[in-house]
Amino acid sequence: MDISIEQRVGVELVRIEGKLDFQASIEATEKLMAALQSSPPRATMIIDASALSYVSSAGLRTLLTLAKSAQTSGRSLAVAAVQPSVQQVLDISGLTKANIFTLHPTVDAALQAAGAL
Amino acid sequence: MASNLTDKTPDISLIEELCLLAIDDNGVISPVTSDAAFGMSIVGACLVELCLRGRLDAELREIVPGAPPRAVVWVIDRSPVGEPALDYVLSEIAAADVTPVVDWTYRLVSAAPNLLGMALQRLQARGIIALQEKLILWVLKSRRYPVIDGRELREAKLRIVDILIGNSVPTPHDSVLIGLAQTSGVLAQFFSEGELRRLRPKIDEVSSLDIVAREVDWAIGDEIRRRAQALALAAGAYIG
Repeated sequence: MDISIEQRVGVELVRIEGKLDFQASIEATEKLMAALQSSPPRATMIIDASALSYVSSAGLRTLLTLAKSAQTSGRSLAVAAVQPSVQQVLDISGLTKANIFTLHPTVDAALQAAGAL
Repeated sequence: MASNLTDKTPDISLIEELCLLAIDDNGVISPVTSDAAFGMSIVGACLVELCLRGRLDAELREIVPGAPPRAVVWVIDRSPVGEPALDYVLSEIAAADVTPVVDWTYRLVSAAPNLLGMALQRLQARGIIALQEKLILWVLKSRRYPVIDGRELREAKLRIVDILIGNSVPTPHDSVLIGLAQTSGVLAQFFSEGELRRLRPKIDEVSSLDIVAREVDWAIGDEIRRRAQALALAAGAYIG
């Protein structure tokens, strides 16, 4: 799994490539929590999931933990361009319906919603 | 901004917390603990806690071609966590091939009374509850588990209330706790029927945001349906 983070105005754009299994989720949680906490107040973290091919239950917990941290710190979390197999996991786990983060069909849509496009 | 009450994961496992929530103000364990739903919830609590502790992971897998995928668990670290109930479940799963969560829920429910006993013993050893035994009519033993200072129980209830009535995003731990407490009937211990009805949409929204917990919920619902059908059949045969 690879993670790249790009700062834009008011946005932390995170690209996750590969699989978010237990091992990867440890690294992902650490990196993304740090990025979130160091982002400007009221920033939006957008996760570009277009290259995220797999999420295990550990990966779901990373997303929930990030969402919790975003809310607590007055920031927001959005996830964009989710692949169908990952979307299925989000749906079955209830995360889609819980509105804990915003889902966008594309990264551009997410950037636009965050006012960064 | 959300309350910081719900920010941290408590220093108490899901199974311990579920058991604690099932103890009333007089130290009496709720009758719901004898139901299959509670037993299956106890198993679910162990499975999810083992995932949280990095001993298990889970994924969705198509088990029956064409059917909806089911969650399966596997061991990623066999080392014991030091909690008897969790270590028992871990050793069972480690001794088997990867199997669906639903199968593990049914397979381990017969061990639920022992798992409950182990969790209560651990709560007692940690000084969270006491054990009071007395003989009724010189023959029957009655046990109560009065909560000692109530801090852990109060915190659990406050976190649940904060999530359901406030706007806090739950932690993974709390989301599953609410789901298991709801499905097992424990939530009805401290919310009235009317309150639970009003909170139902919120409970559905924030509970069991976890594929393992969702499968346990499904298994409990399936078991309840099967028992209802069996009862209806038996009643029909009786009237017959």
